[in-house]
Amino acid sequence: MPAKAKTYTARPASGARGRRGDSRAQAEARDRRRAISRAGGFRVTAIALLTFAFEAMGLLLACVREPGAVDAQALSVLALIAPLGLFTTLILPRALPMDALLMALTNFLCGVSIVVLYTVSTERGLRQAIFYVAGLAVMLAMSGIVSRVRRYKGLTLLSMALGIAALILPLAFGDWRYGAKNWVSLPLVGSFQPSEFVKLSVVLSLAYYFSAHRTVPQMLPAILFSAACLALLMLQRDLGTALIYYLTTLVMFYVACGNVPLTALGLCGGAAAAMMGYRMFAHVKVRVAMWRNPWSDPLGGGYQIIQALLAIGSGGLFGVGLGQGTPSQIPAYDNDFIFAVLCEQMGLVFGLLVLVTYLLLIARGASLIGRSRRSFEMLLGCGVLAMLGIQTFMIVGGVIKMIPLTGVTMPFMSYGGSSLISCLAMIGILHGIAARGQEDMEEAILSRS
Amino acid sequence: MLTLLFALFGVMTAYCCYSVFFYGGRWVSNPYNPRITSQKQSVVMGTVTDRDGAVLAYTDASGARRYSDNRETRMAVSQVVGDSGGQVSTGVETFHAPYLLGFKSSVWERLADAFTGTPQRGDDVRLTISERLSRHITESFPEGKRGAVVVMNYKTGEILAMVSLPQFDPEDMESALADEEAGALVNRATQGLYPPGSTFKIVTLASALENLPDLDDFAFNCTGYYPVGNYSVTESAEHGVQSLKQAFVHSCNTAFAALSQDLSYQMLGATAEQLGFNENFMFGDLIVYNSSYPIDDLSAEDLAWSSIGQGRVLATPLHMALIACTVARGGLSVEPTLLASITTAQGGARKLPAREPGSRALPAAVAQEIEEDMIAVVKSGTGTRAALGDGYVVAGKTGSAEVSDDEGVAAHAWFVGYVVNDNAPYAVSVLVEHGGSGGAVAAPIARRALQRAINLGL
Repeated sequence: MPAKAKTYTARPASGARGRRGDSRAQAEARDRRRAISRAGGFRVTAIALLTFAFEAMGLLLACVREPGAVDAQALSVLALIAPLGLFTTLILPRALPMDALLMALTNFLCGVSIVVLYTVSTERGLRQAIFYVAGLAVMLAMSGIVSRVRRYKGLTLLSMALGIAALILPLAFGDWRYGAKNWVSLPLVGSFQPSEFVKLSVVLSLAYYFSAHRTVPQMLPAILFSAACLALLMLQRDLGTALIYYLTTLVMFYVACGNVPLTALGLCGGAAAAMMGYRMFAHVKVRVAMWRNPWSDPLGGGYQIIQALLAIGSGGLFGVGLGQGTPSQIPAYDNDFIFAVLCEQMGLVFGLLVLVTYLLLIARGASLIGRSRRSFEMLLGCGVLAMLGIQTFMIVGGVIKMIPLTGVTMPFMSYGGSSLISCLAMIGILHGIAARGQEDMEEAILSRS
Repeated sequence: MLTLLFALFGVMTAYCCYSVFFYGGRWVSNPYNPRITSQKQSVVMGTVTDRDGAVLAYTDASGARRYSDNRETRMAVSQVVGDSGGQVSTGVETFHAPYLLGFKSSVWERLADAFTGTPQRGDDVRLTISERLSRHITESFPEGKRGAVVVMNYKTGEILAMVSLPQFDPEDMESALADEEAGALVNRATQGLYPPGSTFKIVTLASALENLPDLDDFAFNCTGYYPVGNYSVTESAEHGVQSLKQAFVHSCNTAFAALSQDLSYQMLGATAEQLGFNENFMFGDLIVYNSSYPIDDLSAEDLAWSSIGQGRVLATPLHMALIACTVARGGLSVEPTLLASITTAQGGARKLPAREPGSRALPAAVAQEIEEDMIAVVKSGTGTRAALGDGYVVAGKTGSAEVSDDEGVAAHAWFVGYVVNDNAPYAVSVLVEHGGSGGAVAAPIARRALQRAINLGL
């Protein structure tokens, strides 16, 4: 595999392609590319228009909610996000290395999040819309990097160093929030959660070391880095995020080398660590007890989960309506518990639809990385998808009381810049991988003729 | 890997649907749901009446929640109806708030309200209980004692009265809350878990009839005690040699302890579970706490004690009434109902919650034999004080459940039974906390309750 990768590094960057003569093979490649984008065209347009309609109706409703007054802010949020959604889905993928279907699904999730947040708290909706715009910019930057950069060694080492530094920051300067010390305030940037961004470093370093080197000692630097991150997260008491890192590492290890005994060993080690964590941290014990029977302490430890269940139950199949109900009763309603708010307002059917959207997004991502020819990209994509999938499962499963609650955000939906921007950056990575897969295909057609 | 993730999401979706479908209604009507309080501000809560239309709870012109004008009525039905503040967590005012507050109204009904300009009104709920029977039972209960009485129609499953003592006045919640220690806010009929004592012998008898051959030859010489394990099961009287029927009629503890040793705890546990022990009662009309029969490995001694309803066996008075219903119906179980009808604000009838059709809990022949033995209990055994005149035959079983090793603490008095008559299909369950002997204390209360139900022709 690595040998193959080297032959491709000699390729000129994509920009140089246009200056070459328009051979028949190139024309064929272009036609094929267009054929692919046309095949996805109808679905993409449908999703984009649905998203547009949802945002327009939701925010127009919010705009006239107060009788006799028009909320101009709702209109400005609508003017910001709705055209941007259409633009990034329908127009941008023609010019930039992007996948239109992936973009359409991402935009749908982000759009739902902004509308629901706006109806619950106008200020948060507005801020989320701004984070969304910033996140899209980061996404484009990431997709540009992944589709162009050929040598990752320097980038990986840099991101590892930055990652460790970023995780030490909150321990040194941060303050405790909800029983964890995982936030940090910086001048100019404002307050943010470094662990959200370090996810990218972890996936990158694991993909880099696991793709180039296949023996365990050679894979060690990445495993050590991941372990160091885990240790720092434990110190921050951010156990939910630690669990995501750990499971992602395990998934990537298994995908990279397929070594079942070692993966099982890692799984057992994690289970042992979880048992230890259960013994050591009082709040983990409370979480587990409240998962088993939240009704035992309905106004104390079980309050959060009970309020979430009450909200989901009150919504019924079709919900009480956007902006209706009393979502603010649920602690962290805009954040970890946004799924409960969604179910109360739009109903169980819509909640399940959102879950299906996550699955479609992951399935699309999997099909994109399946086309890539380099194990590095494949692993990078796997890591990103594992992270998104595991995180969604953990938080939604926690909110509906299927598994113990872990305080992690719901990708794309939860309020917060760190989470949204890092999730969109991951989508950017997938776009970049998709673009490279596309190039590889053209290359293959060219070389065949 | 992807398949695994999809499977996890599939499980999550299924779990979410399952829990909302089965528990969603209970979440909504939970007293911790702030939406109920907020809905009360904007919706006129519907009226609650008894089976004859007597008003038990209503919303007055000023929007305040009021209860029956008659204080005795208010008290007698207090735990069934509940209170506007949700202090009684299982009351109709809380559990059926989704109807009363119009959560179940369709979009069209809400639109109709919006167009006519009337404030939205919740549904009116008519209950199966009789306010008159409830008052009568309250009056006939021993002064100052705590306990519960349930009267049901065993043909339909309707709850005709469900009285729990002490009671409270919903118009005067301050004093009810000030004296919370008394436990008036708990519905002892559905939330009180008591050792069923000798009334559990109905279950043990059923298990023996189902599982043991040649019971006709059963003969046990009662000498007042039966050694098992390190202890002895004792009996106040020496009954001498008796058949199984005689042992049941005299409620002989030692004979049943001996019988239990022929049964295994798997057999007895299986019969108990058929009859609803350890079952998560999910009735559509009311919340009933789960009764428990321990099915983990019982020692010979534990098995002996459990066969006479002592030890870790616990049951609610309502559940014991359901067991009487099952015997009365020839072994078919019935779901208890509390809602007679629901009327929408527009005058239409709302669909009642789904009820499980009865299932076979006991073979008909077994139920028939238990009925004969229970008739004998009232005719010539421990339950003679429950006998009715006018040709009404009563089948029943008494119980005196020991609750303390201290001799000075009186046992809980039980009576469980029913009228063997198609035109008066009434089942009853009486529990008097620390009442003493079931035959002396609980049986007369049961008789008066059944007599009144017959007189009222419910």
